[in-house]
Amino acid sequence: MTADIHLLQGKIVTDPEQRPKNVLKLIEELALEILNEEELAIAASQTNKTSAEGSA
Amino acid sequence: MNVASKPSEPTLRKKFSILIIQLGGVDEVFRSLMALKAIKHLYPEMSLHVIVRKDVSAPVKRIEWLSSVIETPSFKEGEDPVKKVAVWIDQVIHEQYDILTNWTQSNRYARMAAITATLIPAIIKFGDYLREDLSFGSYDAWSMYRQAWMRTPIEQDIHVIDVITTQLLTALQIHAGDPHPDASSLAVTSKYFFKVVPENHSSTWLARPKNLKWIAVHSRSVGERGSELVAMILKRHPDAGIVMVGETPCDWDTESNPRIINFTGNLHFDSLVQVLSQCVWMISGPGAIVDLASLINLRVLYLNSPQDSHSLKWTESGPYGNGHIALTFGDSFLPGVTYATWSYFFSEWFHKNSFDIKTHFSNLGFADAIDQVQIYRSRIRPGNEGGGVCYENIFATPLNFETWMFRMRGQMARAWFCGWLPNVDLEIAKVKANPELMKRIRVAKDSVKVMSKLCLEGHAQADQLRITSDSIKTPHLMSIEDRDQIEEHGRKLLEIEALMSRVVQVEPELDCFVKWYQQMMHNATGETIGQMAKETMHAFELVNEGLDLIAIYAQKTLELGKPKAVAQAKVIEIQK
Repeated sequence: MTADIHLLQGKIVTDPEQRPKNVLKLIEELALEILNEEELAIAASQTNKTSAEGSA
Repeated sequence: MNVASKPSEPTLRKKFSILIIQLGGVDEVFRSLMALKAIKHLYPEMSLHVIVRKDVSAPVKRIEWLSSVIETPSFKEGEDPVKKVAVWIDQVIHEQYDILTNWTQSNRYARMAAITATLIPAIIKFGDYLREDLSFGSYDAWSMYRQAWMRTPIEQDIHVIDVITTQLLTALQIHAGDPHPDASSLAVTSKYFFKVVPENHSSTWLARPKNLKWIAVHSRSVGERGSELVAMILKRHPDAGIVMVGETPCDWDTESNPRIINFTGNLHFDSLVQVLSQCVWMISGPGAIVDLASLINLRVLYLNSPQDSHSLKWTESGPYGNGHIALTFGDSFLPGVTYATWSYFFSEWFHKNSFDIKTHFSNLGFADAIDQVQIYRSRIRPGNEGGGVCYENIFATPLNFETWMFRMRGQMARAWFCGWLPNVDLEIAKVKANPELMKRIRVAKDSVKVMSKLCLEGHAQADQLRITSDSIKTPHLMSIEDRDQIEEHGRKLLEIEALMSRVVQVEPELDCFVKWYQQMMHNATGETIGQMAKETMHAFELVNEGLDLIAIYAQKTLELGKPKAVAQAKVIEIQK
């Protein structure tokens, strides 16, 4: 058997300087993901704090 | 992890700038560091850059051989998040990357990481990304493999660290050249893995009794009954001390015993590394601390959750390295059984396996409990067995079909992506033949044959589709006959796919082939019918190669159960 080089070589980008067509949309999506994550982290820390106070 | 050098002539390697996107939890960050250390060892001239989330960046900042550590942005009140992210991306791409790879595995952060991978330019890309329709795609074979078999309930025997290491090492061999010829076999893990920051060290730990052998216990993951385990250790081993670690404060009674130090809830990362690196064992359930222990070469007794006892999924992310012990319980955590297991391996240097673990359990009065647990020992396989970590059941339990397939899937991946197969006869010789396994293999063999026929038919249909499509001069203008032919081939391909799913209903263990086929088709990039047809042919070829492998192993395993002629006894005449 031989390794499937075509599948293993990854995506070779012919013009690395070129941005994706929907770059603005992607930036918005990324900002949203990071914001959501921050909110989840804050909510989790508040829940922990409340449960710790409750158990105390 | 051991990294074996490739005995080769020095080649002129290119110097690449490599960006790793790891936006998962700290457990994933530790696993990525293990893989990166192996890469750095074999390709010392590569500059490695890592993107991590801000809240898990502390360990990565303690690694001196990384060229840069980039944190995801955080937002202040009143700040425009979109603008901040745009500025951040601009800063990140200030460095030009030759290779970018997204190693984020957890579903929670997968989308964030995929968007980042799409936005940052690089010449060669690996991992998952976000397509124009905002669905996930994979740039390469190993990433498709992770999607098809590791993010699904399908069980396979390649650890995630081995997957990402092999992915990047293969990429570098293809694009940069062979690894450094002077890189000898070297253990990647070490208690000095992280840069030491003495000012953050714990004074309580420095003042501990130095004559004790310290055992770290991650109390949260061990659970409430862990206190019984600790009591047994302290009672029977006067030379042992317990240090309790973990973010969640532990309320076990620890004040009354000077041989217990409770660091739960208040340990800085640097202090945690300092403490663990001076322990001899760690007892823990699943969690990031297990990956940290693996990195700094601390032996782990790994306690699987009882709800995971019927699955081997834990082997994808369990402790990495030689000599770790993993336990799976039938119903619930059993402190006595855990103690008996740990004490057997703790005193291994003393008894040198002069008696087996069952005898040890009997001596401690737990003989009846041994059936309620499975015990595995981790081992790094030598190169001729495929390399990577594996977990061997220390009881020679009869192999069932599911476990047989679990091993087969790893071999398929090695054949597909490494072009490598172990010696089948040697592999089969390790199988403990039993009637139940033979019966199951015989049944499954029929399904394998059917699926193989379907693949051949699918391949032929896709080939016909390609020929028809190639004969059309322009895709915008075709005869009605050509259109009907293309539609007919397409319809037949859909039928074949439906039939493959029906085979899986009969033999669920073959679902891995359907998942792999679907993943390949999902990531097909052809822009014309002809190109898509070629990719379909390729998908059927790979699935069929995997099925061939199963058929070979099935045949060889069945031969183990066949009666063999007994050699004629040599009669020695006794001369009077």
